[in-house]
Parts: sequence; C-alpha cells; structure tokens
Amino acid sequence: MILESKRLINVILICLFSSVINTVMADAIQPIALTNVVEMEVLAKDKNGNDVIKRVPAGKVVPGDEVIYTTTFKYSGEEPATDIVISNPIPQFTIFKVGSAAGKNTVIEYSVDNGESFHGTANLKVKDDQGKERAIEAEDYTNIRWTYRGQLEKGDEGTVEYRVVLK
Amino acid sequence: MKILHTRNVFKLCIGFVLSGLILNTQSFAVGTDESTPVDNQATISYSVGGTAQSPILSDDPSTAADNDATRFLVDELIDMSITASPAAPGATASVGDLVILTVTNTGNGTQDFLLNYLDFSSGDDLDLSSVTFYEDDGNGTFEGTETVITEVNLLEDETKTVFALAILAGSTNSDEAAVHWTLEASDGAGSALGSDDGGSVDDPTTVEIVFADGENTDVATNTASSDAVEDGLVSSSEVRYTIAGLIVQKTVATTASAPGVTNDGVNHKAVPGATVTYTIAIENQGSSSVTDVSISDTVPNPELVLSLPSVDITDTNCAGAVDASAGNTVTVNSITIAASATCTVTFDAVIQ
Repeated sequence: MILESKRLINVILICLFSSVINTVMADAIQPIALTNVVEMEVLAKDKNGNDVIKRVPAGKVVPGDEVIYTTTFKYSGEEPATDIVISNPIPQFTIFKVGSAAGKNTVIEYSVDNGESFHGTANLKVKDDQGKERAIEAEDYTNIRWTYRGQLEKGDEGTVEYRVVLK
Repeated sequence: MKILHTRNVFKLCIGFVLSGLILNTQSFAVGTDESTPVDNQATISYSVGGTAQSPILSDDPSTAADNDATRFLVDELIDMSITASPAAPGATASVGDLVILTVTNTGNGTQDFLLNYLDFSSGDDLDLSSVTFYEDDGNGTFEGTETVITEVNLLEDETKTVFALAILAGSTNSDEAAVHWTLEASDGAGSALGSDDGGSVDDPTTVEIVFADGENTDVATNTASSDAVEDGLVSSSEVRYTIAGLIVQKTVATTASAPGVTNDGVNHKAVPGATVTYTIAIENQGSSSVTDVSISDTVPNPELVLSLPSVDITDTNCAGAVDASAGNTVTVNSITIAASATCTVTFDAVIQ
C-alpha cells in the first residue's frame, strides 16, 4: 500500500512538472541520486574579516530576490550510464536569469514552449500577439536542459545550476 | 487496482491544471504574494546498456521525504506610502484643520499600519494638541460621521483615504504648527512591529518579514525622530497649520447722488443727501475655518444715518451670518469663514 501511494505521488509529480503521464515508474532502487537545493547569496565575513559572498538556504525570499537552484547527480549503477539529460522547469512565480545556467561537461539548451522543444539561445524563437517573431525576453524561458557529454561511471557525480528572480 | 489508480491520476491532473490556471490569474503588481510556495523539481533521464531507463525525479535533501520538490515560501515584503493633501474636498463644519492622507500598501501581503504624526522640534511656533483619524467611507468627502481609527488595514496594492482632523494648541493669530504624517507597520494589536526578521536565521519553511520602505531625511532634520530606510515607517512631506488670522478691511464709495443732483450718473459726489456704501472685508488667513465671527460698526452720527435694511450678508463666504443691525450700528453675528476665504459685508448710509 505504501509502495503504491508512492507510485501515485511520483505520477502526480510527473504530470505537474513535465506534463507527461507516465504510469510506469522507476523501481525503488534508483541508480542515480538526484538532489535539488535552492539557495541565495548573502554577504558575510570570512575569518579575516573580509567580505565574502556566501550561499545560504533560500529562507528570506521576497519579490525581486534572486535564488540559485543547484541539482547534484551521483551515479551508483554498475554499468556505465549514457544519454544523460537533466531537465528542470523554471518555477512558477519566477523569471530565469538569462546566462546563469551552468553545468560542467554539459550542453545547455532552453525551451520557450514548456519543454516541447529545446534549442540554444541563438535559435530560440517566440512570436508576438500578431504572430510576428520578436526578440527573446527572460520571461519567455520555460525549461532548461543539460545534456551530459559522455557517460557516467559508478561513483561519478556532478552539478548543474541556474538562477531565477522571484516576481 | 491499477486502472483505479490511473483514473485517480487523471482526476488529480485535471485538478492541478485547474489550480494552475487559478494561480496564474494572481496579480503581480507588487510581486508574488507572501506565503506562496515556490516549487521546483529536476528530472534526469539516462540509458544503461543502450536501454532507456525510467526518469528519476530530484529530491529535496532538506526534508525527510523522498523525491520531493524543492520548496521555499515567499516572505512578506512590507512597503507602503503616505501622502498628505492639506485641502479637503468640500467644506467642513468642524473646528480644526483637516488633512487628507492617502495611504497605500505596496508590499506583497495584507498589513495593518499605525497612523500618527511627528511634531517639528523647531521651525514652528506650536504643536498639535490632538488629532483624530477618520477612515473615508468611500465618498472622498469628510462629514465627521466616518469611523474613527488609529490604524488602517490595507490589502496588497490597496489605497485608502484617511482624514486627519488636527486641533492646534494655541490661539495666537498666524502661529504655525508643522508635522510629518507617518504610517508604520503594526502587529495588528496596536503596536509597531519595530523590526523585521532581517537579523534572524533564514528558514525556507516560514514566512518572514522584510522591511523594504524608503527614507525621508527631512524627518531627522525637523523632528526629534527619524524615518530611515527599511525601518517599517514612512512619512509625508511636511504639512503646516496656521492659527486662524483675521484681517479686516473697510472701504467706502459714494454710490448714489443726492436727490435733485443729476450729476453725470456715474461720478457721484459725497454731498449731503448722497448715499455712501461701506464694504467690510474679513479675510481668514489661517489654514482652518473660523466660526462665531461677529462684526460691529457704528456709523458717525449726526454726519451719517444708516440706511436699513441695506446690510448685505448674502456673500457665500459669510456662512451662517445673522444680521442684527439697529439704529446707527451695523451688527452681523455667527459668521463662519473657511480657510483662506474672504467674507464681504456691505451697507449703505446717507450723508446728512
């Protein structure tokens, strides 16, 4: 019963964040540990009294503040993993900070159509109310996708991140 | 069992889609509402041995749950504005100075604010002796029947009008009192919040308060207090009040020639039998209306004889005037003169 409830929750989350209804979910053993944290930068002092920028959990967030999402992946499977793609929707109530997406050894692409298609910044296209193509704005971004170059061996790990501003 | 689950999933999905639509209609005029949860979850897909595996959802490591979305709550941003307009729309019969305060909540949540004022410590002659705040009942005009308040509740983005009726602690003509009107974030129980949660430990799961209001450096210059940046208090620019000061001027003109004197019909001469018209102008130079003003003027006898009933009190600036003239004495009682208005009374007399 617990297992089935968990499956149901997973399915709901999928339909929330990727609009894909996938009734067959992963087994309980997941060979990739994927964590996602949200932080913000604050000014702090180091031990020598110098100003340093420190990341802290995003506790005090008000409109206009910038937060950083960091997704960490760690592979524990026996066989190498390939075709690794991390995708993340821009959260509701926030605007993507253009140029802030990062990820070592990844190709970063963006979507302006809720994840239906992904392109590099130069190839993103949006249309205005009259159907004419217009310049991309930060608010147009809906999803980010990181495609990992190469394969993951057991014990490999990495991080990807991006920033958004709370509306 | 599986079919049942799938049905439930569809119902839930429809529910989420609908709730998403509702959320999308929220106003962002001043930013995302306080307490709004902001969720995010990454997905990783991969293949092993050339076979695509089921995607994995990310986990928020700060919670006990597995594969849960990463969440933070939007905190409360407190910001507001107050402006003071020293003239009331429409007249007021109340004794005192009326100021219209326009107060606006520019934060991202509903908030109570205390109304108050800061007296000048120098640069004026006296203080306000009392102030009563009235919340406008919606018509923008003060009638004195509005609800008396000490703090005002404002929804996000809401603007209200508050009337501040001030009584001056003095009676010397033309003395001035100067103040800054203030609006301060309150705890909803009559006390100022005083400080925000800026110095407390961040907590993504609680809604904390963050002051974002601006400063008014004039307050520190003019008063014993201050209005600093992000202190939960905003203030108006200075508002000055003046004790009502009356200036009386009296002029005379010959307005009708003596009987039998034809003259040119225009340039009447002040000869016996001619009529002269006196004009008494009472100007209220103060910033508040004055009531119970009386004027009395006896024309010199035997040189002049007052023509009754020639006393003209029909000027609309002489509200409530009652003519009680008799014999050779003009008497007008019970006049109310609004701030900056001039009440004009005229009467005729005949040269003997």
